[in-house]
Amino acid sequence: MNYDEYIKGIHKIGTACMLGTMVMTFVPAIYIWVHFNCFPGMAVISGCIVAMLGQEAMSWFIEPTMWFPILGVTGSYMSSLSGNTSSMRLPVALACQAAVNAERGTERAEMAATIGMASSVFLNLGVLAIVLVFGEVILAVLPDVIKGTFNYAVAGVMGAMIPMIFSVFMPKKKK
Amino acid sequence: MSDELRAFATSPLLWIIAALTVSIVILQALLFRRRAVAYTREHGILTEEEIKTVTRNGAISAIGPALAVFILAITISGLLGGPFVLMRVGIIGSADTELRTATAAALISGKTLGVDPIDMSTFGTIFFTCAFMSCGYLIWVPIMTRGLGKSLQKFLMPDPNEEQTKAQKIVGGLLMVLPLAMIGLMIFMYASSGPAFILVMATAAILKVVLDKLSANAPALKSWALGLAVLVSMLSSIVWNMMF
Repeated sequence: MNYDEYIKGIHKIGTACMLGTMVMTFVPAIYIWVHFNCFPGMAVISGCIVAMLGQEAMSWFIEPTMWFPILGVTGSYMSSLSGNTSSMRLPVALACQAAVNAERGTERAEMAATIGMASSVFLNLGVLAIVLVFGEVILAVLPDVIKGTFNYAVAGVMGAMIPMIFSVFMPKKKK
Repeated sequence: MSDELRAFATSPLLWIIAALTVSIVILQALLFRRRAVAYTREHGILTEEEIKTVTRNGAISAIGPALAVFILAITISGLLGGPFVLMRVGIIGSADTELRTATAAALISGKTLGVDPIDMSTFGTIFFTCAFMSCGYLIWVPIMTRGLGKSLQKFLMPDPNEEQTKAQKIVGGLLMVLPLAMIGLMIFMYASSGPAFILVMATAAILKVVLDKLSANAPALKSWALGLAVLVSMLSSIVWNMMF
């Protein structure tokens, strides 16, 4: 197959998987609301939609567009679906490209990144599954005083984001 | 979380739905890899040794970041159940993004996650909001990779040497301010929940700054900074609650 045929197949597989995942991610919400008859009302749903548009619209467009030159078509599909683009997929892609001395933007770089990122997807999901299985066991044996600290998890995440917010408004240091 | 909700949140049904969703991610990676390896072999782009090298490197490079999610994954599992974590952290978003989204959904439903007990309706809303959050990527990427992203890229990420149009400045400003406003609102809501919450947030903020500075000399620490800051700040709540 030539490159155009290769990419055509990638688009078909990628688009089908993206759409399939999109449908599946809504299944729990729909099941809960229908089975337990507890739809929260359009006001809540509208509020959530508006909140997400405000919170994520920038990331939706900028993040994939920004990484596309490095990740290519296949890498963009894989990293967007499997997540953790900047913390995992991008470093993996760069490491694999460097390992075979591939020049950025070449087919060699794209194939190295694709094969490497596929490995990272398998490993990441494998580790996560193990973590969750043992996590349930760990959670069951934790003392109540430790379990109580889980209520502060979100506050911890919010607190860790405060330096990030300040850094946006701080003047940048000149090099 | 009530017993009924916890039973459902960790039910086999939800595990199956999560597993099916994650299996699509695995299937995509498998099919892409198979196609890439076939193309590579056909055109001699990489040697067999190089294919093995990148396969190995890809897995090894992912170990650190994968384990770094461990702390947040367990934490979110305690709040929303393992299937939620598998389905949300395993695809699309990072652990902290999913937690922020879940927090926003709970707030809009009238609950503060971790403070107020959530009900079944709120749990459904959290799932819906997280699903909607990921829609943008799932729709945009197939469009962007087909070449339609170039003009938008030029608009959203203009050349710093070129003068920005008024529209670019307005959109750029909004896209920067809106997410910060959402996060600021959530910080305010948690700060209103009591002194222990304020002190936990302060602890996390200080720790994150310290760990980020330390990671300049120890890059491996960078992946762990957020998880460690959150874990230690959570544990500090034991001390703060004794004081107040």
